[in-house]
Amino acid sequence: MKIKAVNVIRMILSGVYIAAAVLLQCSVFPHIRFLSAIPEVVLCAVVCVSCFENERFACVAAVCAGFVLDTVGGDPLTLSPLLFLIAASFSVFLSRRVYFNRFLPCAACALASLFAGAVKTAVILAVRGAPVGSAVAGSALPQFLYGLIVFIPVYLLTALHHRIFRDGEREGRRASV
Amino acid sequence: MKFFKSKFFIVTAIAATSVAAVFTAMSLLGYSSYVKSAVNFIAAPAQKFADTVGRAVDGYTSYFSEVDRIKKENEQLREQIDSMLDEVQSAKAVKAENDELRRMLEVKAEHLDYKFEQADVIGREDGNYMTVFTLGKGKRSGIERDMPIIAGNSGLIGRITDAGETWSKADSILEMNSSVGAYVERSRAAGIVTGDYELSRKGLCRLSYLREDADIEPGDRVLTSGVGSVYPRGLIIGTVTEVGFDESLREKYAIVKPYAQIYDLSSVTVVTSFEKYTEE
Repeated sequence: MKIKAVNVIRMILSGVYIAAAVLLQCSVFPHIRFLSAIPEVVLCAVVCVSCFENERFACVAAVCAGFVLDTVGGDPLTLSPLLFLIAASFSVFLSRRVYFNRFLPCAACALASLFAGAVKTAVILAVRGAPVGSAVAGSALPQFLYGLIVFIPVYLLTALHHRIFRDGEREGRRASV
Repeated sequence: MKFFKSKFFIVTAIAATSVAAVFTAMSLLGYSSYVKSAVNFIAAPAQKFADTVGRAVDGYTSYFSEVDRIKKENEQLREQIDSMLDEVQSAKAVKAENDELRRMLEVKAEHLDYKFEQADVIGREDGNYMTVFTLGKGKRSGIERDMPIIAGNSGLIGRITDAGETWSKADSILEMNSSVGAYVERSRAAGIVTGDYELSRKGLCRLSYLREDADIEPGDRVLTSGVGSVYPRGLIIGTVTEVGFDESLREKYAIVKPYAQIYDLSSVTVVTSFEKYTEE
């Protein structure tokens, strides 16, 4: 299988993009909390990148992002690689089914993933002994809402990144013809 | 979809599950892994940088996110300031009263024959042509008509013009109907301090009936002479600010600035008893 240089660069940049999302989630957003919640920026980034990139890259990036996030974030449960893989697969699946629009499958997938993430947070908190009501209202729900807010700029950035490379690729093709 | 049945996806899924299971188990069992250490080691500088950015952003966003807290804190601080201002105000009042009483003690020590009655100024009828103070004490406290009243600094204010059981009225020396026997402390030049309509508006009064050759200069202190037996001898009336000569009457006169702050009184001292001055 022959991989074009431009695609390699695009994938590397997508990787950097996800790494930046990890740093944002672990170091920047803890300072910008919304109702004491931190948004799932990495999850949004993984879902968006999966919509635009090829399946293999999406899956590998999702697993790596989940692992790095849990490691850097200091989460004792390393469940994110698995959850992110599921989210990325779902995103890939939906985006290949809906041809006419990129945003809708991406948004649906983000909604579902963020909801799952919020449920995970609520369950972990409940297991640790927090009252379920407080866990949902105080942590899970703000996390979900903040995630939805963050999803829009993440999607726009990813789309912009994809468009730049797609245009570059087209021009390269024209030149070669 | 073909991809989800592909070997690549199955391997990735197994890898992800293994990673999740192994690292979660290791973490729960208290083992640390070299892989996690390495990732953290690599990420640390970038994380430090991102944290710095986060702190900088936090500085700006805290303006908005902490508005409620700051509002509450602001209200609490305002309440604290109000109560502290109240305390300061009452402390000032206590200090002023203390100073006044201290001065009274000095006056008392100076004039052993004097008997005093402290009274608050409870009213001030500030008419167009005269100023009458209403005091909060009257006959029950031994205050009678024509008793002199002085300020805390022993400066003469005026005299009682009317007295009821629990109140009394007083005129100041600035009033036109007022006349006080006086002398210049330095030269003993005698005269009468009277009220003058024009001067009273400036808070001044006039020392008249001075002899043509009277030795008087601006800055001289003017005291009560005790003549007329309304005022005791030796109370400070004020300071000479200007000296003039009345051609028609062929006598000198002086403008006197009262020692007492007549327009700014909250309490006064009534001299209820003193030894009458007799010229020997």
